[in-house]
Amino acid sequence: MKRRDFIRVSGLASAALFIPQFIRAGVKPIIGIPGGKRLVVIQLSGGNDGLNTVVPFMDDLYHKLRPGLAISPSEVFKLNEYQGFHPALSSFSKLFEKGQLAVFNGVGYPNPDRSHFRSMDIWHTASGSNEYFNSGWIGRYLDSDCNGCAQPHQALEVDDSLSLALKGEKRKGLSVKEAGLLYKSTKDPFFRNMADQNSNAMLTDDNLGYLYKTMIETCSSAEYIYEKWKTTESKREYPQTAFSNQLKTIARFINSGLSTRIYYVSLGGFDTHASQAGTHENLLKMWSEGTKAFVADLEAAGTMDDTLILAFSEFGRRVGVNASKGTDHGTANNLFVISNGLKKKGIVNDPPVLTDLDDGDLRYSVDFRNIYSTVLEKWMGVEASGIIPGFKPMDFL
Amino acid sequence: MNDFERSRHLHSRAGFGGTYSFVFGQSKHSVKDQVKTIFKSAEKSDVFDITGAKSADLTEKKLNEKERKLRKETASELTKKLNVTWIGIMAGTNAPLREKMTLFWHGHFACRSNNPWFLQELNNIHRKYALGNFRTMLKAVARTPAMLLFLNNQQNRKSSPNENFARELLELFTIGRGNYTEMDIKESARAFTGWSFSKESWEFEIRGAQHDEGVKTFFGKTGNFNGDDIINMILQDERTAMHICRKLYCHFVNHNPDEKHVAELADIFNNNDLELAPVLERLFTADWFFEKRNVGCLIKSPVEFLVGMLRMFPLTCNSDKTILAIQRSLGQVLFFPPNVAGWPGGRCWIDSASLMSRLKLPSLLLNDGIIDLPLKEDMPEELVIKMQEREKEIKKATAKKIEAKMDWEDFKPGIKEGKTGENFIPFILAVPPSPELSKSLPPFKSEYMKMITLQLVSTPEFQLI
Repeated sequence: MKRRDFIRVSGLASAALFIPQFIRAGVKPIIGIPGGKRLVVIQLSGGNDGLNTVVPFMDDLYHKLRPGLAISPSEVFKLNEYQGFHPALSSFSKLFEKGQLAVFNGVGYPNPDRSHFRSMDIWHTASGSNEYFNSGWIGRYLDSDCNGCAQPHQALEVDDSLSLALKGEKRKGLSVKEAGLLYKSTKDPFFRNMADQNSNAMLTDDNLGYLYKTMIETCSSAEYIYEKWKTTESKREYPQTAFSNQLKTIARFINSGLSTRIYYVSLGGFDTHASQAGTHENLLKMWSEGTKAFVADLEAAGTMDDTLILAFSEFGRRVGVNASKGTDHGTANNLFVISNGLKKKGIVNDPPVLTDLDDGDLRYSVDFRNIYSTVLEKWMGVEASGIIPGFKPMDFL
Repeated sequence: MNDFERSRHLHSRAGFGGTYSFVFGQSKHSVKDQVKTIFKSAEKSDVFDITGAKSADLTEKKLNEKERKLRKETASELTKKLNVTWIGIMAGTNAPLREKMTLFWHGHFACRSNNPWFLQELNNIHRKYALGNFRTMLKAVARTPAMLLFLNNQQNRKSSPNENFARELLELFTIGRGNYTEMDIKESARAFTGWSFSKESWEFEIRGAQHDEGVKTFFGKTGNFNGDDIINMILQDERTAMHICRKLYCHFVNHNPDEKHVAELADIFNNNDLELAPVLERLFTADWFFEKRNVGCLIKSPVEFLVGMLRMFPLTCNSDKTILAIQRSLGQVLFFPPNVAGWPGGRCWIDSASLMSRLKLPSLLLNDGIIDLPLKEDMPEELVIKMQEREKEIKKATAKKIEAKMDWEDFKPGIKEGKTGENFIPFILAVPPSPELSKSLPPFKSEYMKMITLQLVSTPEFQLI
């Protein structure tokens, strides 16, 4: 570091010691550590059918239990001798071959809950199935100070509303569908005036102080995001889907140098109880083609090295096909990590055992909380035990 | 605190607030008399019946895909109807305390179901016992198809017990975490085996063959307990009263409970055979209820926010869509609690997006999205005309979307010319406005009342009761 730079940074840092960051709208955040790692979480809502995503094509039981729905060995993209991708995931083949993709089998938790929203709750809060937490794991990451990140825009959800995953006890992430719209909502002269004029006096510890603090931070974050966002424009081609558009927005945020550490985005519709084949194929295509374009966008901008993508679903589906050519709510599932920093690549662990089912459902072999812990500790660089106690990091990163 | 502020505090907590003339009228009476009136009006109950008779169309049977889809759509429409109708009841009821308590139990016994009839039945149990006996209510709730399904008691059989209901009964509905063992859960789950309902009549039934008649050990006692025995034993433990009263205190008084006051309420609860009315009567008349630290300290729930506005102003909203969209954007949709623990409330209501919606919504409902500001005196005439035209466009577009009607002519907040607004600010806000806001308000003249109102409701202060 040049001496001049050092003085400038430390000058800001010492000023920050004396003035709380939220004290005035318009104070630019100083924390965005250059070269800091960032995480993109993709939520596949509704319960993605893992067995038809990463297909155990060599398992006779798989074909026997899923007449009319099983994918034949000749169709899959083979990942090893036993498992292969659904043909709609061909966009992932390059990532797989280049060692940028890790596929986990049997990810879940003890005593699985088959209700969508309860199981999603468990994934969002990183709780056990018999615990109720009011805060999400990403929210607690914000609470834990995440290397000094105090602004809500450190965790952004590209959506209309904020998921529980991004709500901490003290701090919350920010949901923003369009940077311009959020900025506009804070630009009403009346709100601006309130945020600008009311400084110290209103920032008390009580609920009113909390409301003022949230308002001022929102105005400040919205402006920061908008100002950065408008400096970059992605010229890359993305598929014409809403999901891809959301990924494109994230890429634009990342490539504009936003100091956000975690991005969150969802793709819904995976609850395929009836006539699954066509629907599932479309969804897998949407997901993988969007992701491929996203990775290419980041690679072209040189921001992929610092980005890790994690894709999960609240549960897998039952092993057997149902009477409507669909599948019902199940348990353990596949989880996907895309990164240039993988220590374990390709298929990470043993495939699910279809001969040893729990009332027709797969047994989990990896607790998702161990994967979260790994990402928090080995990628984001924070101590995971304070955020998800009792779940040691694994060694895939 | 003057008499007006006292009344406002009482009625916003024991109900959903009211018009200026209502609060002003009440403030002429003593707190004791006002509370008496509140309980008197709560004796009546609104009728909540959308779904009608048990619909045969909704029973479990083999359906083809088309029928299944239709059934799902009908159910979803009816659930929306339940939601909007209940908002309407809360906004118009003459028994606000009963509805407020129904809403409390709606969160306490949080439940989801894709059968609107089940949801309505559970809601009507909450309404019926809202101010009644907690034991009777709990036993009724435990017998509803809604709860039996939601907490998997249909799968709770002698041969393979399901502990979900027993766990939530102890953790959330009664005594609270830390006051029981895992063994207590296992043993009490056995007592509820076979608790089920008839697929045909939708009536509660105990399936004898699935019920475990064996000896159970629960809370240190051993016997052939059934489900009601277990409920009685939990309710006999005085820690249950503490847990329920602490929750009531956090909901109606302050999120940071004063344990001395909680214990005082719990004593009343235990000494009155778990009747709720005496507890609430004490709560709303206690001196500490009116202490400064307990006034304007709660963050309105989205439903309180919406219903409060509908009761405070001559305001109607005829669009079901708007009513539902408001709940979604603020994070509380009736009949869709986030999980069995209900809405966590307090600061959990507030994040960047929900707060911006809360700041914007009042002006959308009252004035098609415009917060009137005084014009700067040195503003050039053409600019003023331009701004006014732009405002007209915005208002027209918004009005079509929101379908809300505010009758400003009928809004008479008792303003005396030239005075400093007297009770007007305390009518709108439960806490004093920030110094900056006070400074920016135009003078209290009748021609500025609309402008002042719009500014006051678009603030962080307005989020509190």
